Amino acid sequence: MLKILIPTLMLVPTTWLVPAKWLWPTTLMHSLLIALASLSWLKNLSETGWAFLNPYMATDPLSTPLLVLTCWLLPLMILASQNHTALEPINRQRMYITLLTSLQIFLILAFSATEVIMFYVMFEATLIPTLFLITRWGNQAERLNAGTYFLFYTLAGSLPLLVALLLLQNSTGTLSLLTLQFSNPAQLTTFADKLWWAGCLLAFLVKMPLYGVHLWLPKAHVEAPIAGSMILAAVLLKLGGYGMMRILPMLEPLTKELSYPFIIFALWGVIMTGSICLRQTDLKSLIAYSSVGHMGLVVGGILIQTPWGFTGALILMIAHGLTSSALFCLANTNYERTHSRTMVLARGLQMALPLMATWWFIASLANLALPPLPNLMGELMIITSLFNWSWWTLALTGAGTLITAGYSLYMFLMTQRGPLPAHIIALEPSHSREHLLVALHLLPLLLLVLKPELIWGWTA
Amino acid sequence: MHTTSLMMTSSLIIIFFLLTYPVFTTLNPRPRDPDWALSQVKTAVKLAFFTSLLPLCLFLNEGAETIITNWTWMNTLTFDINISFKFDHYSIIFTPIALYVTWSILEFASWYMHSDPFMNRFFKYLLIFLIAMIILVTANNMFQLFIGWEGVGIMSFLLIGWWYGRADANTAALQAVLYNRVGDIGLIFAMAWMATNLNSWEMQQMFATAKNQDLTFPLLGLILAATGKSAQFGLHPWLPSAMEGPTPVSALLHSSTMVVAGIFLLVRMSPLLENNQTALTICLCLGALTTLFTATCALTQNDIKKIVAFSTSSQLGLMMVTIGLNQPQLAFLHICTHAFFKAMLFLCSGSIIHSLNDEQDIRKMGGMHHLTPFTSSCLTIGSLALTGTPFLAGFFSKDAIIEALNTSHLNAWALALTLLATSFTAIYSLRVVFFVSMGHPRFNSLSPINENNPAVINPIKRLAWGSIIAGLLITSNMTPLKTPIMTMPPLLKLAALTVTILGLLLALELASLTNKQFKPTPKLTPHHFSNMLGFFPAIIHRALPKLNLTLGQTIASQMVDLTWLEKTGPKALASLNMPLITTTSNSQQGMIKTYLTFFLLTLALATLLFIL
Repeated sequence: MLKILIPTLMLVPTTWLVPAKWLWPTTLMHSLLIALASLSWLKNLSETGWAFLNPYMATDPLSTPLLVLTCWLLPLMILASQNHTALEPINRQRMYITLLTSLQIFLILAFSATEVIMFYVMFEATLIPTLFLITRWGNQAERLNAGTYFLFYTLAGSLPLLVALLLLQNSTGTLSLLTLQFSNPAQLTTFADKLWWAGCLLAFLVKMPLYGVHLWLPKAHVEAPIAGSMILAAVLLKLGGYGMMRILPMLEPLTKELSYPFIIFALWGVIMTGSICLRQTDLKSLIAYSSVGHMGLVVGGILIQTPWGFTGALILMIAHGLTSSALFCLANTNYERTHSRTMVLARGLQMALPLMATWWFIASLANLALPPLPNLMGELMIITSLFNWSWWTLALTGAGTLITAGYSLYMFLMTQRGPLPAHIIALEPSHSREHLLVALHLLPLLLLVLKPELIWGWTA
Repeated sequence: MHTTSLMMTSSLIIIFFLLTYPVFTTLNPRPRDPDWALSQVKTAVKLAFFTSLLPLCLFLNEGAETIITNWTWMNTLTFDINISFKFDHYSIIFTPIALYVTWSILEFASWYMHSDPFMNRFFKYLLIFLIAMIILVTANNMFQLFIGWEGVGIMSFLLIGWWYGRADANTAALQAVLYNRVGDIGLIFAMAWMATNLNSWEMQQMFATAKNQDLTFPLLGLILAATGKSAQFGLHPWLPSAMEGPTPVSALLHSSTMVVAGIFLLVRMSPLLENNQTALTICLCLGALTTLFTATCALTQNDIKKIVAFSTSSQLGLMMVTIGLNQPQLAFLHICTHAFFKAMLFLCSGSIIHSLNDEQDIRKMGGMHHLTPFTSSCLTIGSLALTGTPFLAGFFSKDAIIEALNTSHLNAWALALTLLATSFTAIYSLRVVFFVSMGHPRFNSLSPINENNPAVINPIKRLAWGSIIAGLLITSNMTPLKTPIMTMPPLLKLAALTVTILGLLLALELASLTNKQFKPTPKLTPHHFSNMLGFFPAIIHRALPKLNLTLGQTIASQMVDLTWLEKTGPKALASLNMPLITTTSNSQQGMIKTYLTFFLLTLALATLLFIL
């Protein structure tokens, strides 16, 4: 664990000590090396599932893919932010990279924590750099509002979790993830127990976000700078799914009935957010709403609590992390050229930036879950496990896949196809940096097709 | 290892290798030569075709079938998914046909698309399209089949939208994907059901374990899937719209790839289908309805490609009828023969369209028999084969289907519809031939008419040979799996021919009535019904998207998100607290005298109260 954590910590002095000229290449290389080293986590030979143990941290097949994704995202964020921070004074650039690094540190600690309370603390700690990222580095005045929404939705959800966890500590005497599932199942009968159940899940459902408490997400995505959108879509939302998978075994006897409304809400959200996407004019908002829809499927898969549901949810989380982050990067390349997120203003870009159109196409296909991409494996597994629970879910998930295909291709056709309007003929050509950035998102996604066990979690 | 199976498996793997090699070489950043399309892609398909003849010969000679499983892709608990190719008699016969037809189409495309700056890319797309279809056909499990299934769907999106500057092309491409997605819901449903109840997506295991289950619902899912992909009634409008793509795309899409995939899926799944009467009846009725409806639409179209497209749709309906008759092999036979003449019809119309300076309206053609004798002869051969003229390719499958239909005890309604559609086939086929090659030219002078190019002549010629002899070749070599009924009254035996000839005579009579100005205008109501495609797109393409988009805007976005969730949530919280906050802060403005006075007064009042 420390093999990754200490280099990540040392990234902060690197950022501040390196000469200005070498700031971006060095930090990029440094974080890429960390990402490379983090791949060693994937080789898990342990019989219990837990590996790389130390007193506070460990990895298991569930957390490993998310940890690797976290480490993978930092170099990509650095790569993506290089252009729009270029005009800032050098110290602010250093500060910015430090901010991104601190986020990675907190995320690694959160995903590898073996104590639920430590996970909770780190879960909350990620809010701080993210808030800075949105409110300090966003572009429009709306960012302050977005920051408020982001903070208060998440906090309002997660404070009950603290109380619930302290209660759990009181009754079981431990919060260690290694042993917690072996403790005596509690007799959960009273109304207060049901509130406790809700308290345990609410924080994660807000973070996912579940449809109904999702308002903070589109705002945060739209107002955050590119790195913020990327990390938010790719990893921060997944904290919710990860936390739910961890906490669910402890809530056992209640979850079966109590989760029904949440599953239905989540699936209904797939359709509603999809329909909103069909009407979106704002590119980043469209991608953000599509994230809500996909996360709805993940919530459904997790709450159904079957091995296939969990596996599908994890696969979809990883695949969606790479896909939506790639889409945000692509949206940002448009934004940096046209300075507008409005889709009608930047059409027919295939004519101007042909290779970008290829990336857009692949990313859109991944978003609509084309076989054999991991997105499809995840969705198919979730749909199957939901179907196993109730046939009627297929009406929602099926309509969801149709609408997803609709808005993904709408996004592709709107931005890439059609005639090129005259006002954007003089576009800056695409940089190798941007192509590398998107390629580093999509290549892992394509390669995961060959060995999906890596992101299968417990059933691998 | 026995030499037969060794030769079989290795040549099948070589086919895949040959086809994928040009695709992988395009990953090289070096720009391809301008003749890459012909020298690499066409050669690859040609070589693959000749290679595929070897397994075909082995199959015909020794009945060899094989399954290649080489890799466990994934494995969850007890459920595993393999890379597994199934070469049974369906895929062994279909693969050479698909390759042969594609070879011709590619060669033709090199002429048709020669002025396109991205011809290499076009060929690459066509090749991936073909590969996806072959993956679909040879898949031995549902997951692999789904890859091919979606692969052809997405490639059709790219190919139909090839001229992406045109709004129509983009709309048609989107339509194709969305209609197919509706079908995919059915396939996903069937797959989810199979994973849940049969615990396997491998074909043999599914067939073996499904014996005692009630399969009605998954079969309905599969039928929905086939309805989407094969453009059966209800999900058919994407097929004529797909004519926005270049003609070689239409030829490939309609002959051996994509649209037959749905029927092929049902042929593959026929062991599940054969014992379920409900599903079979649905197939029968759906197919009959499709074949009649689309044949009716074809009657009054004026765009040559649209007529051919609707005839495909009608033939797909006929194949669906055959599935419903529980004769999957006959349906497969019709897929095979249909591939030849339908590809040829499209290539002929492509040649004519180019010759007439991109004119697609048959009313502005005419007299082409004198100007492009070869193309128009082949157009006639294709039309004759399509109508089921004896001893051309279409006859062997179509006549057999109608005989099987006549001698079965099934639905008379379906029978009547199918027979009517068969006679309509003759009518619209005659209409094409009549307007295109007969009569006098009605087009502008100085059209660039020239069919004397080997890249036009050769492919059409090869397909013409196919349209003439393929039916005989395939029927005389394929062992029927079900005993055909050989004896029947002459009326039943000749029913197909009779209705076709009746249709032909009727069409000739109508044509002469129109020409002699006895009846210059058609009856408008039925004409509009047919010409406007039964008003189907006009209603469905407006109503459903409008409903969903309105839902998206008014309910999902404005009502729920912006009002209920925001106004009554965070904003209400803010606005509820605001009066309290302003009151509290307004009263605290540093007016120390006032505060002290208040303090004094309160104190005095309290003391007073206390004393009293």
